[in-house]
Amino acid sequence: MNDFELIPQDYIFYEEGKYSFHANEIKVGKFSCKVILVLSCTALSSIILPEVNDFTLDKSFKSTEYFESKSFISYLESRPNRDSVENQLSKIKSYPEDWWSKYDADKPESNVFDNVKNILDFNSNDKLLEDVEVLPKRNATILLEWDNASFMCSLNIGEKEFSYSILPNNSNPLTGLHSIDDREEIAIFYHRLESFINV
Amino acid sequence: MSNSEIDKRYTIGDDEELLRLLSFPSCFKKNGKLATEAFSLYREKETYVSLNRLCYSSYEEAITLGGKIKVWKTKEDEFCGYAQLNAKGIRDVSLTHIRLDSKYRENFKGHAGISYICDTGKPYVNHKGSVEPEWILLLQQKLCKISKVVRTK
Repeated sequence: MNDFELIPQDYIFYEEGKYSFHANEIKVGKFSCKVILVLSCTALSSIILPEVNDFTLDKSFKSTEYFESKSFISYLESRPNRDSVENQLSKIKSYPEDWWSKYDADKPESNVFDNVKNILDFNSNDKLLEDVEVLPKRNATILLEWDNASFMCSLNIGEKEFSYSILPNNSNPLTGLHSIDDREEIAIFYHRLESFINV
Repeated sequence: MSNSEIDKRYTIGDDEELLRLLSFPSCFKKNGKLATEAFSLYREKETYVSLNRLCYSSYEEAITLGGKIKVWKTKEDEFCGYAQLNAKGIRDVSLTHIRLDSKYRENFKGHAGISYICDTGKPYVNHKGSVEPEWILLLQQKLCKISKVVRTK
């Protein structure tokens, strides 16, 4: 259950601090413990369970109950993997000057750190950031790297551009080099990454 | 000096083993696997990734020699491990975009370099603040996959 999550599109701010929950897609796919928690609190009419870990709704739904608990909402909004990436990034940013000189490395300019955060902001699926490592490169850019049993992904973020290579074990690599402002290509990167994470 | 000796100085045989000495923490991930940074160009205008040919020195000698060059010569020794690669394995990563050359010189006989060759036929040149092109990231990933890795700290 911990492998899945509720994405922001699945809940809405209601009014006066109250929240309701809905799903926009009839095929919701993999759900999280958070979603199960929400569903258990709603008057959802029917859920079909076609296979383990994969729920399908027979229609769009909206909860008939509202929630006022801020801690509950805070829990729903938690992004542990994003937080981990942010922490790694902050740690790199805090390295003193002599750390960089010790390794004959150039510290990234502040806009490189901003660019990393901007690219992270495009992603709403915290699952995609699971186990990603944030590594400073000696040429003043930042590297995010995924490495698991099914693929390796390297995302390099610099001052003006980002580049990536996704190397799966059993299919052709996917690569790209684009402007840091190219929102469409950032979305394509996440879409490509997601296709491997969900395998 | 025989022709074969001359060739050995300036030509790296497919059966040769080489070491990439690693000194920067980002070369390793937490799980001990290599990160692509292990094969990155990092100095301004650098055009090749340095390696040590094991036919000219043992592991110990290569590491000792590594400790005497560049960063490690005047600064704290930050050697943290190495990747071992086979010359043919390196060349098989790409027939057109990787070149493995001897950088032989009398005071560093085992010096070799991997260059990343652009479509223009020229080696890629590193620049501060610029990302590495996607095709180089892919080559580096493949080099990581064929490396035998030893982490020393």
